[in-house]
Amino acid sequence: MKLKLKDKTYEIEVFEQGELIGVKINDQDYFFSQGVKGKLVSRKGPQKENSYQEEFVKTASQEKEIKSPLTGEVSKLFVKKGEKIKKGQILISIFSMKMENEILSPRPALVEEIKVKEGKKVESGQVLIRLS
Amino acid sequence: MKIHHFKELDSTNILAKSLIEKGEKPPFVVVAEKQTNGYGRNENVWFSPQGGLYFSLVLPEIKIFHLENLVLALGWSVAKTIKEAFGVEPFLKLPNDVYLRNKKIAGILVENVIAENKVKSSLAGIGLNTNTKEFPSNLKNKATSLKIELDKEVDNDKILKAILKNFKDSFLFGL
Repeated sequence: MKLKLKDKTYEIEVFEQGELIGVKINDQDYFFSQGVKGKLVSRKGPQKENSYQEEFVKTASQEKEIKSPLTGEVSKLFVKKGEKIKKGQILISIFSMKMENEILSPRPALVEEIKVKEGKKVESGQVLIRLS
Repeated sequence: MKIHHFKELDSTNILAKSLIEKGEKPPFVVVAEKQTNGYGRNENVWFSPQGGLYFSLVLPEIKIFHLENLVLALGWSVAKTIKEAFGVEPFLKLPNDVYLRNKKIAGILVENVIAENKVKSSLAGIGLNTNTKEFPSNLKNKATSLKIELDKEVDNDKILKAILKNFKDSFLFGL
């Protein structure tokens, strides 16, 4: 269906995808579902299959959890709960295999929670710090 | 590989870090004839008088799972160089401390910066007691040098180049 508003033309298509109602406007998809009072409520679309690269960018820059890259010991915490941090700021240092490993913040954020203490052992993949 | 040579530094690791911040492209090496503030882990002092070999090797970006190989390759390269050059049998205390005749002869401090799932920079500070004539009383029973053990002066430049070559051969992920 074509819709003309003032001097712009919009190509509109309505479709169903699972329980969601999709509206395609000029190749961009928007999704809705029935809310509690029967009204249509805007929803996130179904997850696309992420390419490896998209997944990497997501884990690198949007991750809320800073995880330990290695099994070792927390040698130093450089930030406190509630602190505003910048991209690239040192958050924590993990001592592992006789190496000091400083972990930097992937983005500007607020430190929501610190899950570890200095001197404590950590496993690879263990959550160290939670960001806003 | 570019080698920055200095007569004296507080610490080769500190100078190497400042070069990274100024945008110097790795790999490169910083070497000093003596250090006034050579350090190991937990701010332990590394005794660094004139005569020893003190250098920092800065590596380009590597993957996190290459770090295990890195730390082993460093200690291995130092021990192998001592064995090949002087025919003595060093002991590599894993992962990276090198002993000769039950006394420590080399120490390695690796400092990595990790961001966005990658090792952005990797800095290995290596202290090898080559021509150190004597040690203070608190180290005498724990530390030794090639000069003390072999009773001869050794060539620090040749040893540095041999360590770098052995490292290149044993670190499998590019240099």
